[in-house]
Amino acid sequence: MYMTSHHKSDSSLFAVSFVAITLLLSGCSSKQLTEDGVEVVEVVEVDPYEGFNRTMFDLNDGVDKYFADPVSDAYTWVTPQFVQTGVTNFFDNLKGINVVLNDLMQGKGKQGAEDTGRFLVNSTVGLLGLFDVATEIGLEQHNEDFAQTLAVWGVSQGPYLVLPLLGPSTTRGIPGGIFDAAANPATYVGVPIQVVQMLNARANADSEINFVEEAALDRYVFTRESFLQYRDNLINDGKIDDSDALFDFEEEDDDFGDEELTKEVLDKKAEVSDDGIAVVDENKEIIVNEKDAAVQVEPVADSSDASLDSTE
Amino acid sequence: MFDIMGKQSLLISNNTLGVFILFAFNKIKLFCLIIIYFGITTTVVATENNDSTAAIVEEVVVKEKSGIVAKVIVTDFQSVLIDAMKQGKALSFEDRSLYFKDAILKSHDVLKSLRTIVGSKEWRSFTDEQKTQLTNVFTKFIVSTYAFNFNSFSGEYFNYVSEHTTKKGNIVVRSILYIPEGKRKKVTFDYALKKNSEGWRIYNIAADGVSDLATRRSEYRRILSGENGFNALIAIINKKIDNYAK
Repeated sequence: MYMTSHHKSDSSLFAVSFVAITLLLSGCSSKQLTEDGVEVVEVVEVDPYEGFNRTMFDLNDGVDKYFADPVSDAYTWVTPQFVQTGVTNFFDNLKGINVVLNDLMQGKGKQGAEDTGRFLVNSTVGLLGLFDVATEIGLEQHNEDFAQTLAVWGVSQGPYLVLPLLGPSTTRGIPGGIFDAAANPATYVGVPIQVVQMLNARANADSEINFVEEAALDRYVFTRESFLQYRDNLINDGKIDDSDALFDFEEEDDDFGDEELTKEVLDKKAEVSDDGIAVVDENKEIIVNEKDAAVQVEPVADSSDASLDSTE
Repeated sequence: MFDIMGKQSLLISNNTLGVFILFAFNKIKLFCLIIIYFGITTTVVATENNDSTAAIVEEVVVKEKSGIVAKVIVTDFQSVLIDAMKQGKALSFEDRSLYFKDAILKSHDVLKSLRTIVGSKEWRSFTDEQKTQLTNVFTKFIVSTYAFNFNSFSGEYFNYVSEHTTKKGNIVVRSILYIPEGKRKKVTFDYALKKNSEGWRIYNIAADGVSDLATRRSEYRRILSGENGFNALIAIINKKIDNYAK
């Protein structure tokens, strides 16, 4: 839901953009400090090339808005859903080879065996990967790539980069992307197939791109943060640790100066102001409900009914 | 609750009746009636004792297994989401907003989340009016985001996976949203709960490892650090709310 850009595609563009980037980075890196003459805002450590990145972000955005989005809409419109699913399955299956290689390079033997089985089943019974039979029989898809392997090997992430046409990455992601492209059979077939792959990837990402468009206050920052966190999550395979990472953020200090300030006090104030949606009476009712709820352990269904009632 | 109250009042009125009978009837039956009277009284007392004992036991259970309550906060909230999705177009955007607002205020500590997003230094620099304004606009934004996105149903469901206590005693409830007809079949949701005076409350949510607070924190701080940052932030959020409501 929050993701935009893990459908990274692809390959032949890589060589071109890699060169372009090396040139551009050296030229543009000083831009980070000024933006339309507005006084600058702290440089984010992970994003030293923000000026360049924002330029590329806008470029990609333009390409998407005026080219990729309309074309992929057309593709979605003319292609029946089951065909789209088949196409997605087909390209996912081709990525399977790369997944197995990276499983092995990360020392994930069991997962490597499963993913090998997955690739074999889908390539045969699944008619060259058009049908994802493997998932049905319990061999779930894993997400592994070379950038993750490099991370497991201890290569540091490096600065965040927005690549022209390819989207968000990091310096570690560049060799990662090159290896992935090399290990993907789709790289070695004709351009039409690659076009279909890109179209399909864009179409699949449509709802996520729309979500970002609607939810983000600053799409560039939103995309960067989501991308980096999503990649980190893939690297550690979604494990929860007990480190309180979801709770603690680098903070100047923990003193907000008004810890005694409560929702009720603010809600009371909201009675006066017009832009609040809080209605005081309603909140009182809710608080009463909360106390009740704290004493009674209710089955899930019951309490959702209760909350429906209280809105009426 | 009404059931128990009903039984009690019935017993108490029997009790009063017993006293009435005691004085109204002749002494021959007195002995039997005294026994009946005490019988009834004992029943009433015993019932009361049972009730309060039950209540105490229940409360202790709640306190001891506070983790279960954290889980219930999450699953209750999720069932509200799924319920609203199932009602689909029967509910208008405004209906869903009301419904979600209630559910969010019950289960989330919006103020605590907002403070963290803004950061302590910035937060302390706000006037009371600004704090109120931002809190209200922010709450409305969260509510609108839910109301806009959870508007149709195609077989989605949440599965509870695990509950995990962190080093500092906070709780992470993990669950997976399955989307049978979606292009992404499942999304892992980690709900981070902190305890406040009212109980366990959702403080942060991570979807496939993307932490809502961390992302918002970067966005909001970026905007606040610009020129006339506070007003700019309010204006941008209001614009987003308007887009959702369209």
